[in-house]
Amino acid sequence: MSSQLLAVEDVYRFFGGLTALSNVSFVVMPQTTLGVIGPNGAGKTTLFNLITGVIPCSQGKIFFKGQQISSLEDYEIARLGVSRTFQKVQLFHHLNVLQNIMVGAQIQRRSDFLNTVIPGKRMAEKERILRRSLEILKLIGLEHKAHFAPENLPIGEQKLLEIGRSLATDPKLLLLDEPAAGLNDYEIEMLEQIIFRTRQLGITILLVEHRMGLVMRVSDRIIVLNYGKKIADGTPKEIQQDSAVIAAYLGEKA
Amino acid sequence: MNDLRKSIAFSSVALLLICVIPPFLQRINYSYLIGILVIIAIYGIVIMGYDLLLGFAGQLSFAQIAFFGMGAYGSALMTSKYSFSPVLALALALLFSMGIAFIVGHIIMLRLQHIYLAIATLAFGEVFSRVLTGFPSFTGGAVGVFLPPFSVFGLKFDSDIKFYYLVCIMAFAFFMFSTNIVRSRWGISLLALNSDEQAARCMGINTSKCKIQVFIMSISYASIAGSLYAHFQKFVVPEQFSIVHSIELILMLFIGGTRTVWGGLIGVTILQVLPEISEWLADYRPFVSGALLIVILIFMPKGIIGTLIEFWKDRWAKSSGSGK
Repeated sequence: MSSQLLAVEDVYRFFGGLTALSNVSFVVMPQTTLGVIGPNGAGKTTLFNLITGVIPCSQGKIFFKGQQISSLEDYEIARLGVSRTFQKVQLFHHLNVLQNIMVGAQIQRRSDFLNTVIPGKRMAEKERILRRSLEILKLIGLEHKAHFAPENLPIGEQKLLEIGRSLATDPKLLLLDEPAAGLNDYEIEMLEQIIFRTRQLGITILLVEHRMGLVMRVSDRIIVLNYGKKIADGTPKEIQQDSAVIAAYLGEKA
Repeated sequence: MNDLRKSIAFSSVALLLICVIPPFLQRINYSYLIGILVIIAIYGIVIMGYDLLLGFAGQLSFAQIAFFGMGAYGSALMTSKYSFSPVLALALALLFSMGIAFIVGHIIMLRLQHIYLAIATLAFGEVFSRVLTGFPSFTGGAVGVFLPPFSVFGLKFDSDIKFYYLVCIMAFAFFMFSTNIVRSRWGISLLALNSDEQAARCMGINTSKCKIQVFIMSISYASIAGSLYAHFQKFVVPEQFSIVHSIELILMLFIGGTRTVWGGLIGVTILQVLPEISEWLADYRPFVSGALLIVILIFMPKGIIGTLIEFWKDRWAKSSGSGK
């Protein structure tokens, strides 16, 4: 029980009269990838917003490594090791590519505190942040564009940069919200490699994505949302044969 | 190491310049310009603080002049009515301003954004100037308050020249502080907050804390500058701190260029020196500065310094690119 990394328990979210999420529960085991799929408006992004604390749950609880995070602020959750990307790219346009990643790498954890006050350690810390950022830059293949303004990158590279920024925070759990949207074939291949590399690093991934091929290839398990309810939970194979899922995507047989 | 050497070289040149300007001006019989340089340095301090808040953190506040006035009136009242020493008065006025900024920050900054923040701070500035005129028994009303000259441990700054050296050293210290802090982790967090607050929070940045910190920091610049200003003018009246001057601050900052530290200094210099060039420019000052801002926003949206920096960066990129 206690080995699960993330546990979502009976979560509800209302927007006025609209029920965006209703009684959603699931667990995520460490070092696995969970795909989250469902038609548009199913509540996938809302689920991400609840887990990362961007908006509060109306009801229910969310646990990360056994600690309840549904009452924490978004930046506190990020410091615990939960990082995310956004459906619509949200980069820091006042900073260049490298600095965007450095913002991620300089995330303040409590254990870092001494490093930021002792002058000698502060230099070492600066060095560490820079080294780490350059590593990440290489991983996402943008080392030749370190000093570019992010808005001058093609959309695919902006998406990769956003993932890089999240990876720089050294997360335990990474939430990717439609990372492949707007990417060309080459970039999707790159993305898939990054996802596999990320998994090798022992990072657990939550993936919202509409490209079924990608989701099926990288996910260990998949949950399906429809109208705010979880309608299926299983391995990619099981999901592909699930009648409720097929009905949700293709419509009920007459 | 290279950075350190550069900044030592820069500091020595800047300090040397600061030292030789007054004797030079006296030599050519332009010593009245020293008074203008003092005003430039004082406004320069306010604007460098304002750049942190508006340029780097992207929080539009019209309350800056009110805190400038708070420093000025704090010093004036404490030195003239209670005969505190000027340094103590400056420090207490600073603490008071920071306290008010802390409270106002929590009420206004954390709840309001963008245009609503601007309007709320505008209201705060207006309330402050009403308080100045509304309690004449305490603040002297429209007549204002007179102050003794500034002094540190018996060392009196009672002439323009002496005051010039005092404020220039202060402005230089603030400049060095600003340039260092904007390159720090905190400075980068401010730019992240300015770019996308939600994303910044998801990167573990406590943006609420950042906003309060940068607000209090920018207010400290304003308050200290205000105290110096009061001692230099030797009197304070409410009219010096009316909301119109807040708009002037924005003009100066945007003409020079935001997010550069340098920009504000150039902006304030231009707007202070222009009226000295001709009487016509002096008479139509608001018109001239407004027109100048429009021209600059259209042709150099990043301000004078911002555009220059961009220009040099481009050249540098091209020359290093062709070298490969």
